[in-house]
Amino acid sequence: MSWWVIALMLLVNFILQSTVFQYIAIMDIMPDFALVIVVAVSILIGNRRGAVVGATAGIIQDIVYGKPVGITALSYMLAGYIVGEYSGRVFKERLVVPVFFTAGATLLKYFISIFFNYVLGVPTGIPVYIRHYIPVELIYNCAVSALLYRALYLVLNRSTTLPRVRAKKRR
Amino acid sequence: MVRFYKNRSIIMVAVAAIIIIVIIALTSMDRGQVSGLESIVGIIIRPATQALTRVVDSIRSSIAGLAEIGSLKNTNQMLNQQLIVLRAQVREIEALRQENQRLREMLDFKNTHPEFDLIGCSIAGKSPDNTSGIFIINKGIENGVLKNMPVVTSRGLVGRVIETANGWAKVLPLNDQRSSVSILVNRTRDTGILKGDISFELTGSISPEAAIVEGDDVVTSGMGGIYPKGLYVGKITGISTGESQLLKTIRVEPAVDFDKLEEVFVLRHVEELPFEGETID
Repeated sequence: MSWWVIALMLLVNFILQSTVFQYIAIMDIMPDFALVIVVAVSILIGNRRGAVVGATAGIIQDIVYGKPVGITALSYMLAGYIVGEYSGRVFKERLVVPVFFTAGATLLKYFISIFFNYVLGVPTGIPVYIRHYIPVELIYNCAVSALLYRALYLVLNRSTTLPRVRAKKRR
Repeated sequence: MVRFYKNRSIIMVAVAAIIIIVIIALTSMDRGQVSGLESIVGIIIRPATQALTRVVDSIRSSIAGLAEIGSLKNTNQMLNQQLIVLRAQVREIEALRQENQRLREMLDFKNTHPEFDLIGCSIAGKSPDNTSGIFIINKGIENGVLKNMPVVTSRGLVGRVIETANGWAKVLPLNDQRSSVSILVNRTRDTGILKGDISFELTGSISPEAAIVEGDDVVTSGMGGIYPKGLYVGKITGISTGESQLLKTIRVEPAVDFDKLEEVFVLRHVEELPFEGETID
């Protein structure tokens, strides 16, 4: 059940983010809702499933809008895995947790993006990233994470067949 | 057991990461058509994004219309004042009309370039990535849209098709950091290169001897094999000479408003000339 909830959430978000959310951009920058969802879900369901959710969300975005395909998938997958890995050591109910992880995931995403741009010979314009894109998106993503985490926590925890429960049993 | 489980997770993620890096390497190469799987994803996603884009556009225009009702009185007063000013500007308008005529001729591809066909497309969605300008259109291979075909609006050049599938295609706009175009200053006939950048602005370099001034019109030069000669790009808004003085740096205000694109045309070469020259990466 919760896999369907996650899949539906990511799909609806993807459609909204490439259409409606384009118009809510402030300073030409949109929050990365997909990354926020991947981080929140990974906190709740752990590393392996977090990685799967991240890779899936990223690859869909890459296939439709990416050139080359895979950079977003890689950054979301690693973000999902790392967040899931450390989620067992924190209090998942505390709001500072998703905000902190979202900030880290945003930095990781930009690091991977700049790295691949550099490797593939795309002019990177690192000062503009540091001055504009990274700080603004960092603030937006953290704010969105703080606002949405409680709701995502409730939706995902309400499901009785939450993957996290199964993962614990297996251990 | 726990350690095995954990190690297995790391190995799985590492293997997945390597697979993704291989995909990145493969898809970063110059390819015209997306794979079958990618095509299917696009076919599923596109109708929803396109419908939503239409809804949002219509809501935006209705909101703009409603906002005007409240300010009609003020607008009327303002228009009366403007009428006086406008009368004095009739001569200027006449000059503008002539310029407009010239620009229209420059753009009128149906007449001046019978070798091109226009394929009307609407924008189905824009990249959620803040640093990417890529958008998708609702026409693909079956409509004759092929890689490297120029994309234009009635105002001027938008960019080019980079990948196509059945029913949709990816377009790389001019102002994206991965885009570049060979240009010609219409008045002085100087050629140069214009590139997009991370801030979605158009900057270019041109010979230091070029007697260009701000306001000069910039068109495509036809070199490079992708964009045909004479497509209107925009106006020069800034000229500076770098420290080395080897080239003049120009800033160009594009004729197209990339944030408000709704309908675009893909230029199809009737003779299907082989494309060569520029590559994306």
